[in-house]
This record gives sequence, structure tokens and C-alpha cells, in this order.
Amino acid sequence: MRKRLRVWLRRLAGLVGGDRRDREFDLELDAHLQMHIDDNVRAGMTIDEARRGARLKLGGVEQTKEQYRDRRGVPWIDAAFKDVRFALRLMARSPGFTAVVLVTLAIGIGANTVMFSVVNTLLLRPLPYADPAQLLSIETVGVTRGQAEMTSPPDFYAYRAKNRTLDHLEAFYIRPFNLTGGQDPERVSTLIVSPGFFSALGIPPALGRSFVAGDEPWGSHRVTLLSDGLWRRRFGADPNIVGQRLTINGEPYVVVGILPPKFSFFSIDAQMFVPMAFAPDDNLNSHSNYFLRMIGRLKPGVTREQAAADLNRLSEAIIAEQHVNVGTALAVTPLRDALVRDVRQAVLVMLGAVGFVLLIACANLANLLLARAAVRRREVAVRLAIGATRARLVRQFLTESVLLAAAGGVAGLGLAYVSVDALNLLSQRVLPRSQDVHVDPAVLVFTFGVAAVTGILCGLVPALHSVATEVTDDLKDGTRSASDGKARHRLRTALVVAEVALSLVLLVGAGLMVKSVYRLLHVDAGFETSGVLTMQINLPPEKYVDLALDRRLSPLAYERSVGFFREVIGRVRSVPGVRAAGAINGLPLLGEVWGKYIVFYDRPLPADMKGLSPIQYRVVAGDYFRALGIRIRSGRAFTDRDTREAPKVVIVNRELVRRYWNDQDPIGKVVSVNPPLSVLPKSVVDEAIKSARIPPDYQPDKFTVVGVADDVLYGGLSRSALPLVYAPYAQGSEGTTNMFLTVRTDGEPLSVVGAIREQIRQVDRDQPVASIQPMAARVSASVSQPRVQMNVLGAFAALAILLAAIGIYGVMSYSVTQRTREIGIRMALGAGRRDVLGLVLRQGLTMIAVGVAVGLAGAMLMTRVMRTLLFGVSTTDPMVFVAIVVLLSATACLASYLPARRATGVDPLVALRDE
Amino acid sequence: MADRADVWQGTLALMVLKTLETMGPLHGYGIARRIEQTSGDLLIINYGTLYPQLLKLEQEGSIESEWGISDNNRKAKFYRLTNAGRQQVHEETREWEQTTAILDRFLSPKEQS
Repeated sequence: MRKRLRVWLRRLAGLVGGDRRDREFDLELDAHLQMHIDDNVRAGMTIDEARRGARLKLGGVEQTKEQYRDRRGVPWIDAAFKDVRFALRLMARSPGFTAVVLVTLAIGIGANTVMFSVVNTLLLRPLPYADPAQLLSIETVGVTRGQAEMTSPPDFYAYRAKNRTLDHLEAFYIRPFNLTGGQDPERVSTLIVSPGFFSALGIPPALGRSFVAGDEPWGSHRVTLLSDGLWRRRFGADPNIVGQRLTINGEPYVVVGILPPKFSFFSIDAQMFVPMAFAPDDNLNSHSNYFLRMIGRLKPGVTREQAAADLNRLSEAIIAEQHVNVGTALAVTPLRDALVRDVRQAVLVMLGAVGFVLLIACANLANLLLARAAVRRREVAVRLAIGATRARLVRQFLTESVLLAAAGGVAGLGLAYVSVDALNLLSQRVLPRSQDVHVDPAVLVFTFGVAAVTGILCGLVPALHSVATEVTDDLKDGTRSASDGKARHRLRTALVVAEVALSLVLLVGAGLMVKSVYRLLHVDAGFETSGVLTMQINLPPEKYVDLALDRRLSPLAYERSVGFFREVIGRVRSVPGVRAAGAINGLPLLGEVWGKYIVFYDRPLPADMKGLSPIQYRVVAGDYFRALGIRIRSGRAFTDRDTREAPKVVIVNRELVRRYWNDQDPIGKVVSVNPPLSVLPKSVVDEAIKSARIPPDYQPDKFTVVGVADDVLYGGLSRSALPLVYAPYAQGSEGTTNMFLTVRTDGEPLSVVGAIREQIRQVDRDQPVASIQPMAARVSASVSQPRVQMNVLGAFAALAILLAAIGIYGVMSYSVTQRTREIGIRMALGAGRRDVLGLVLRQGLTMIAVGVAVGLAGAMLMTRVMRTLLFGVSTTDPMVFVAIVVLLSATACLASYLPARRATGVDPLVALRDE
Repeated sequence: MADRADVWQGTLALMVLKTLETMGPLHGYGIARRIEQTSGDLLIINYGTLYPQLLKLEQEGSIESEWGISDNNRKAKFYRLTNAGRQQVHEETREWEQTTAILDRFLSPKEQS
């Protein structure tokens, strides 16, 4: 055994320095023959006889050498090396060809690698949590409320306590909290979670401890976990911070732990984490408020369907017993699906697009190889004639194309590395987990797999084609026969047609996206986007809300907040450069954040909750409508005289008038935004009265409609307006402390930021201001996802058209070269330049026309998958189709015109003379 | 003819080794000549087949090679036994003698009585 190993090692070593060893053996054989000849001569033969005898006895010099060589190294590796060396020499000899191929492949493979990295991260790689397949996202779905996915706290507690199928059920919501004391006040995005949240995900803290059940009761809840980022940035990574107190929203919290650096959850950028807890009478912990999202972990051996059935059983019980959440159910989906749901379609479309690019690149490669193979026909014939096997030749061709593909793959990988970083930068807010996207081993394997398959496929056809030719034909023919390689020509043409068709589909897709983004940006959002500054001010409730009054639903609870904003708006109005100032609790485009029900008094009251009409609700202060340029269609806007003591008024939007008043004038009508007791379920009413939350003779506030405002797209540019009620901030019966200041400016919005902040500081020195942006920036941000898609698709389409143009140029160019003789003959017989041009162009245009036709048919079928990505554009938009056909045809015609023009430059004498 | 070639390889190897043991370091031509002589010209081989065999033995570590000067002042590659080779000769010789002894008994049973 050891001997065999030694032998193989020596043979492997024998691969190196083979030439030297071969030469050494030549010398040995020479010496052998010489000695034999000497002996023969001494024995009496003549010199010739001696030489012949010695050679005969040796048994064939070449044969011996070959046997020796075979034993010295490993023969097939030797042959492979030789093939590679030959291929490299060939590539070096035609640098232009090699360069074009490499670039083509680099683009095709590189783009695919990037896309595959994205797909891998988003759709294939498991989430960075323990046993992620068991994690679920649980959402309330239904149509009766504006927000379809949130859950109320009592529901969550019920599901958590009574479910039988989950190891964990946790809830979370996100709020901005004010972190003060020590350094600058900072508004920190905070994730409020049920205590088992981190153990559900399987994330242990890096320092300290995680939350425990004991952190949940009110009073024990003032503990916090910090993100690694916040810990490093604000506390200098000081390990002693664990156990220390911080002031959050004016209250002391104890830091109990620090989270590991790589922790991320969805694309939520939370820096602090606190346990979810509600004071005993907190209104938030009721069926009036839906703001929780939930995740869960399956018990081992339990399926998702079982969990869904279990949870829905509980949900139906709540609906039946308490008459709330009517018309809703719970949807249980794998956590990963919820995470990528929004982008999955887009990513798959991108993947398809990039696959097209690769196909086009492969078609180009095949074309180029075919052209080369045609040129080398003679060489192939000669080699076949002297005894090379077809298999050997095929193997050599394949080596060449695989080598090219491998080089292209390496280049593509390099391109991908660079692009992935750029992609991360570009798509930060658009792709979830974008910081996780990087080139990893799976991607490397994929890349080289693609490169290998490309090489083999694209090399195989030309290779087989070449060696299938009749040797005698090729040896006989001149290299410029007009009738040669008919089949090869057909193949090349077919490839170009395919390229044109694929490019068309891609271009149409990109074109549709462009139009879609254009439509989005030009949708009438109902407000003025330019010249408006916005900023977010979240008042700490402990400072600005009388919590005791709030629990009793007293409208006086928010007096201090009202006062704050009244004063700030008054001061901001006087800042030079400010034309109007106001505030609202939820800006346009940021979502439908506050859903309620409207009660009409000009018609019979509904019998129960099912008959209530859902609306969106906003509270506004100051000159909000004028600041945002929202037109008041009839009636009036709010004024400073609409105080708490004044008669209660509301403004509705046109959609509400359309939907619930049949477009009749609603001015003067009376409504409420809270249901009267007669509509609520008896159990809820009894409970509320018993706990003194409402008096037995409770009546909801009645508001008079004084104005109708234009519809504003609060839900986003691609959503339609929902019926909406605006109430003055001072008069709303439920308050909020989180408002957006909206300021209309003369000139550049950001120029007044300093002055405004100063005014706010003068009202409350400790109040932080956040998210200072012109409204235009928010609009732009809201289309960032479709815009990224448009850019990516556009880039791929540009690549595609470039590659297709190269392909067309290549085929036409080669064809012209092939037909030089024919053209020479025609010209000698009297054909003019125009005729030659027409002759050549006709060939090109036919190819293009067929390609466009096929592409059109394909595009009409395939753009259907893009439907969910488009806004305001149908998948068969004629304008886009026509524009793209024109663009592609023009490019393709140009690509064929250039070689055609070259054809007209043929000198008939030269052409006829050449062979 | 496959197994014949294998047996042939094996016997040729042993002949080479034995020759080197008897004659000391020798070049390829010399080994070939000597084998022919020793077999009493019953064996006629192509000298060329020797060289791959010599290479194999060298790869196995039974012999080693060195360039030197031959009798008639020519540069030639000389082969010589290694210690492992020497051992191999003894072992394989003994094996062959055993094999022939056993076969003898089979092929000429008249020895039994």
C-alpha cells in the first residue's frame, strides 16, 4: 500500500517539470542507442546496419518515449494541462475577441451573483434566530378597521394565556422615547416588547440579563435593554452601565442588559427595548386601541395549521363574548414570509430580469464561439486528418469555452463584490436585512456553477458542430465559400433573434417601471409638496398629560400639551420666512395611523358595533391646512377661536362626504367619533361604568361639521383616500402627545430650522425635536422602493440592450466578411452601393423584425408577473410598448448598419482576388 | 493478454533487480543485454519495454539513478539497488522458489508414493 502511495506521489510530482524530464529521457535513450550501435559495429555490422538494428531492438523510439511519458506523470492531467495551455495561447492571440467575451460574461454572471445574493439572504438563508423555522408572525386581518394587522392588548393577553400550541407568543410595538439626563436629550426609537420576546427569538443578551416575567407588572417595568449601537455611541461601551439608571420619558429606568451587536428585527431600527406594561386603568389596554404586532414560536411537533386553528378558536370566542373585533380573524404565517412579503414579488421579478441578462450574455458567447469555430474549420479538418480523435477535439474546444467562462466568472464575482456594497448603500431602507446581504459561499458555488454550465453549453454546440463536418469538404473549400456553414448561420441568426426578443421583454419591464414611478410622483396627493418643512415633536406624557385625568377619559388631561403646541405654533408664526404653521398627529404618506368609527345623528343609530362606519381620525392645530396647502372645498378651516370651551367642530374630507352622505353638503350636520352607549356591547358598558371610567350617563362628544377638505393621501401615494375626520387638537376627546409640526416657508424650508428650534427651546428647553425634513423629502422617500426597482430593472435592461447590440453587430459583421466574395461579384456585375447596402441590411432587419415580434408576444405574457409592482400603468400599456419597440429597433438597426456600410466599401477587385 | 503482461511485468522487475544485485550499478542498455544473456537468449524482449519498468521501480523506491560515464566513455544513466530493493530481491526470490516448489509437486505428481 505504501508503495502505491509513493508511486502516485512521484507521478503527481512528475507533472511538474515534465519538459525537463522528457529531455533527460531523450538523452538516456540517445546514450542507449549509441551504446548499442557501438556494440553492433564492434560485432561487425556496418554503421547503417548497426543503427537500424539498434532501433529495431529498442522497439520504436517514439513509442518508448510515449510509454515513458505516460508512466512519468498522470496522462489525463497532462492532456488537460496541454489543452489549457493551448487555449490560453489562443485567447492571447485574439485579445479583442477574448475581451468582448470576458466583459459579456462578467456582466451576465456578476449581475446574477448579486441578485442571487439578495435572493439568498431574503428568501433562502434562515433568519438569524434560534430554530427560525418554528417562528411565526401572527396578525389580525379583516376589513372593518383601517389598520388590518394590529392587535389590542387584551386580545394579546388572552391569546397568550389560553393558547395550547405555542411555546411563546410575544407582542411588540415601536414608539419614540425621550432619553434625557447627562447628555443632550435624545429621541430614541424604542421597541416595547412582552418579556419573553428575546427568548422567543433565542437571542441571549451580550451583557447583563434579558427581560423576565417579573418585569411585566406595572411598577416593575422600568427596566431597559440597550442596543449595541446605542451602548457604544452614547455610553462609550462602558460595561458598568448595566445596573445604572437612565431617565426615559422623565422616569428612572434601570439598564439590565446590552444586546449583541448583530441583532436586528425586521428593518426596525430600535435602539432601546423596554417591557410592555400598562397601568391598571390605562386606556391603551382596551379594545379601543389596536397597535400590537405579534410573533410566536410553535411547540415542537405542532404544525402552523394547528396553531392557526387554536388561535382562531380563541379569537372567535372573544368576538362572540365581547362583541368586538367583529369580522376579523388571525392569520398565522412563517416569520420570514411576513418579513419579505412586501419585497418578495419585486425580488423575484428582478431575479427573472437578471436571468434574462445572463441568457443574452450566453447567446452572445455562443455566437462568438460559433464564429470562431467557423474560422478554425480548416485547422479542425487538418487535425482530424492527422489522427486526432473527435473526442479529443471536442474536449479541447470545451476547455477553451470553460476557461473563458471561468475567467468571466471570476471577473463577474469581482464585479459582484463591488456591486453588493453599492446595492446595500442604495437600498438601505428598501430591502429588509440589507446589511446581511453579502457574497457568501453558496453564492460562490452558484457563480461557478453558472460559469461552468455557461461554458459547457456555449462551447458544446459549436464544438460538436465543428467536428461533425466532413473532413474532405473543409480541406477542399476555400475559406470564403458563400454556401458554407448554412446550418451554422441559421443557428447564429436564431441566437440573435432570441437575444432581441429577450431584450425587448426586459426593456418593456423597465419601461413600465419608469412610467409607474412617474405616475406615482405625479399623483395628486392633495397637498403642496414643495416649500413645506416638517418635524416631529413627541412630548413626554409625564410632563404634559395629567395621567389621572386621562384614565378617567377627561378632556382636561391634555391641557398642557394643547398649551405647548399653541404657544410653539404662535411663536413659529412670527419667525421671518414662515407663511403658515400648524401641526397634525399623522402626516400624509406616513400611514393610516388612527382608525375610529363615526356616528351620524341625521339617521337612525346602528343597533350594534357592526353597523358603525369606519373612518380615519386626525387632530390638527394651528393653520395646518394652509401650511400644507390643502384646499378647503366648502365651509371653513379651524381657527384659534376653536378652543376647548367653544362649540365642538370637525372638518371632514370629500371621500367621507361621498361615501356616507352621497355627496350632499354636510355643513351643519352633527356627528360623533365615539360610539354612544347604546351601540356598545352591554358587558363592556357595564365594566366601564363599574370601574368608573365613564359615568352612567356618558354621551360621546357631538361635533358639528364646519368644513370639507380635499382628499389627502395619508396612506401613501399608491393608496386611495379613506374617509377622514379632522378635529381641533384642543377639542379632541382623546389626546395624543406626538405631533408633527408643519410649516410653510418662503423659500428653502430648511433655512428656518434654526429659528424654529430656538422658539421651541424657549418654550421647553428639554424638548427634543426629531425627523426634521422638508415634505418633499418625505414624498421622495415614499417612492424609494419603486424607484430602486426601476433603477435596477433599468440597469438590467440597459445591459441587455448593449449585449444584444453587440450580438447583432457581431453576427452582421461576420456575415459581411463571409459574403465578401459574393458582394465583390455582385458589384463587379454592376450592383451599386445602395444595392449592396440593401442586400446586407435586409438580412439584419429580418432578424430584428422576427426578434421584435417574438419579444412582443413574450412581453405581453410576462409583464403580467409585474402587476403588483406597478401603479397607474397596465401591464400592456401601449405607449410603453411602442416606445420600447422603437428604441430597440433603432438600436438594432444601427448595430447592423455599421457592418452593412463596411460591405459597401468592398473593393470588388480585392474581394475576387482573395481566397 | 492482460494477465500475461502483468506477470511479465512482475518477472521483468525481479530480473532487473537481480541483475543489479549481481552486477552492481548498471545502465539501461547494460541491464537489457545482461537479462538477454542470462536467460540464455530464450527471452527476446524489446529493449524499450525496460525503461517504463525502470521508471516504475524507481518510483517504488527499489532502485535509484544517477548519471555517470560508461565503459566506452559515454554519458549514461546508471541504476543501482536501494536497501529496500535489496530486501525486495531476497523476499521475491524466496517467494518464487516456494511457488515453483509447490507447482512442481502439482505438475509432476509421480513423486508421490
